[in-house]
Formats: sequence, C-alpha cells, structure tokens
Amino acid sequence: MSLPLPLLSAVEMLINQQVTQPAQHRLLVELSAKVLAIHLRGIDTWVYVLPYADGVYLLNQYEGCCDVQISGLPLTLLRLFKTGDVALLSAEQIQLIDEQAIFPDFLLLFSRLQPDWETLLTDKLDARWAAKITAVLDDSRQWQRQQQQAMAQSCGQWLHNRHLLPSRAELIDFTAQIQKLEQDLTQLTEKFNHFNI
Amino acid sequence: MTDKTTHFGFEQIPETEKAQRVGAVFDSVAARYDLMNDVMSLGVHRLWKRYTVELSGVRRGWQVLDLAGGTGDLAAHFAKLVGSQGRVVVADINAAMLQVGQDRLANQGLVGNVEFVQADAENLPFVDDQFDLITIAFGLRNVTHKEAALASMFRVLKPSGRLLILEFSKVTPWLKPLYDFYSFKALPLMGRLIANDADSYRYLAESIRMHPDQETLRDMMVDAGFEHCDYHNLSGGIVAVHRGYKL
Repeated sequence: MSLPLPLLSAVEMLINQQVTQPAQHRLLVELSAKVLAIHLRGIDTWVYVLPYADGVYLLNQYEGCCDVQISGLPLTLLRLFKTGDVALLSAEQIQLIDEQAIFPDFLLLFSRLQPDWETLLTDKLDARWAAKITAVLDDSRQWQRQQQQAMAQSCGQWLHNRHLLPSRAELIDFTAQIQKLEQDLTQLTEKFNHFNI
Repeated sequence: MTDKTTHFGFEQIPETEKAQRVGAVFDSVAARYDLMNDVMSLGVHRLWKRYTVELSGVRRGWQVLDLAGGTGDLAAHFAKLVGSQGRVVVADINAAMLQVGQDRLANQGLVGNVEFVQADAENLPFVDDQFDLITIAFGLRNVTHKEAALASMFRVLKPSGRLLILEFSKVTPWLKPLYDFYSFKALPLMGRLIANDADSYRYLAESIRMHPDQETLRDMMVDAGFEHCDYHNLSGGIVAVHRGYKL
C-alpha cells in the first residue's frame, strides 16, 4: 500500500514551508546525502525521506539503499517526530535499523518544525483573516491542552478514590524499598567480586 | 518527387516543416508556458510530474537526461534528488523554452549539477550508454519521427537504465465527451485570454489526438529495443507514464 500522492505532496509542502531557520538548513545540508525509510506498521506503508538543501522529498517508492530505517505504528511515529523524545525509541513499538547514529539528526529536523500558521496563511489570505484564523487555532490548542490536563487530573482522582492507585505515602515507601534493594544488590556484587566467587 | 508528409495537429504538412512549425508554437508560448499549464490542468500537472519522479527510481549520483525539458519542471526535482555527485542534462530543441528553464532553475539556486543543451531528440548529441535515466514529459508528441527519437534515447541510455515518457494519451470512454469539449472549446479560449494565442493551444489539443495511444506507444518502445515496458494511466488516461528499460 502507498499513501495517496496528493496527501504526500501536501505534507511535504507543509514541511518545506516550515524550513526557515538557518539551523534547519544546516541540518538539511548535513543530511542531504542520506535516505530515511519510514515503515508505517499497521497499514504496511513505506515513506522515504530524502533531504536536500532547502527541504525534503517524501516518496512512496525509492529503489536505492536507505541509510536508516524506522518502523512503528503511525501515531507512535507521529508522536516521536513531533516531540523529538529519544526515550520513545526504546519503546518496543519502534524499531530502528541500519545507520542509527544519524537518526537523531532526522528527529531534530522534524521536531523543530513548528508551523507558524499566521505566516503561512498570510501568503494565501488577507492578513486580518490570517490573524483571526491563527487566533482561533491558538485558542483551540489551548483548550485542547486544558481538557487533556483536566481529564488526566480527573482520571487520577477517580483511580485514587477507587483505591486503584496507591497513595503518595505508599509510593514513597515503595520507591525507598526499591532503592534499598538496589543498594543491597550492589553490596552483594562487590562482596562476590572481593572473594572472587 | 513527392514530399513525405506528417501531421501538425489535424493538418497534414511536409515532414520538413514540422520542426519549424512546432518551434514557432513553443516560441509563442514559452514565456507563459508554466502559467498556462497550471490553468489548463488546474495544477494537476504538478502531480503527474511528481508521479513520474516516483516511478523514476532516481538515486544519488545518477546521470539524468530530461528531454524536451523546456521550463525545467522535472529537472528541478531531479537536480535535488541526484545531489552534487549526480548530473541532470536538460535538452530541448527550442532555445526560448530552454532559456526560460535556465533562468528558472538559476532562480531556485539549482546550478551546480544542471546543464542545458539545445538538442534534437531524434539525433541526441551524447555518447552511447551515458544516462541512468531519460525522461521526456509532454514532448514526444511534437517529435516528427518518434521511432528515431526512441532509438536515439535507447542508444544514450546505460544498460539497466530506464526511459520514462509522460505524455497526453487516450482517455477512458466515459470521459471523452467532457474532455473533447474542454480541449476544443475551453482550451483555445483560455489560450486566447491568458497567452493571447488561441492557435497554439488549438494545436496542443489536436496534437494530443494525433499522438499514439497507450498500447501503440508501448509497442513502439518495444520495437526500439526497450524491455519490461509498461504504462500507468493518470487522471482517467488524460496522461500516461510509459516506462521501459534498456537491459
């Protein structure tokens, strides 16, 4: 399966419009001979990212060798590219193969893409309308964040009330026990080493 | 002695005149060629070209020949994809179109790995086995001797190289009435309003009808020596991308 070309082209255009910072250009120049293959697991689709000095190409097909391949579920990969959180790479849902050392550069490139909607829209619309639409977008993002926080808080409270979540005191005690266990293990290892057992 | 004739749109003319008359058409439309392409295809020509890039399998370091490359649409894609180790040669018989392409690519900062050559597709001025990829987008139908052009492309292509032909083709039957109305009524009108040149755009519509259909063009490629030839219809057959390999 391959992604529809208009969709891929639109995403590529959106990405390339956001490449405005000198640091992004430097990164693109560094990556410009590399190819990243992205495997969207679940829908079994490949997308190839080919950077050049001013942007990237997103292709459905690429017959050459790829420098680095990443495989994961679409939403997990989206989260990875959006946040740039390298810790997500250790998640079992994501597999990284081949030249892994260059992948952080790709990640940095994508995570730095923060759309400036007002500038993008001003190119297409009257400045007043662009400002209004941007304000609506900002408000909706703010609202989304508030709702997420409120929901997380409510869920936490509900789990606590139902005694499905441990209390803060229980958690501190549990952490202390783990730390004690780690210390004991370290001491025991040292003793074994000392007696050459 | 009787002169051999060929078609120029729906008109039959001596073969010796075709290149000159096609040249006059493109001299006339060169300056507004891109604008007209966008208007006529509602911007879809960009997706057709983009699809051609996908089928090209182009890689870093490749030598690419973009024939009838004119305003450099495809060449701009390839120049970015082959990188500094690769090379893109834009060839066109028409100097005016070539100049537009040269200026345009220079404005985009694409200068290091792109060359412009005025050349006749029927007699390419390149050594044998030189290019990994040859593309010709919306150019083959204007060539007088298509067989000679295909043979010339085969000669300069490296073994394992591929040829891609993006060209208007035969539409599916259900689309034909609408397409005919658009081609013969709307297109010349748009040509008159935007480029002040209805005749050139009437020629465009007529030349499309005279161009070989998908199967015929594939057979012509096979006759020229290309192997594993196939084609992909786009937008209901309004255009087709033909692909063949030199093995």
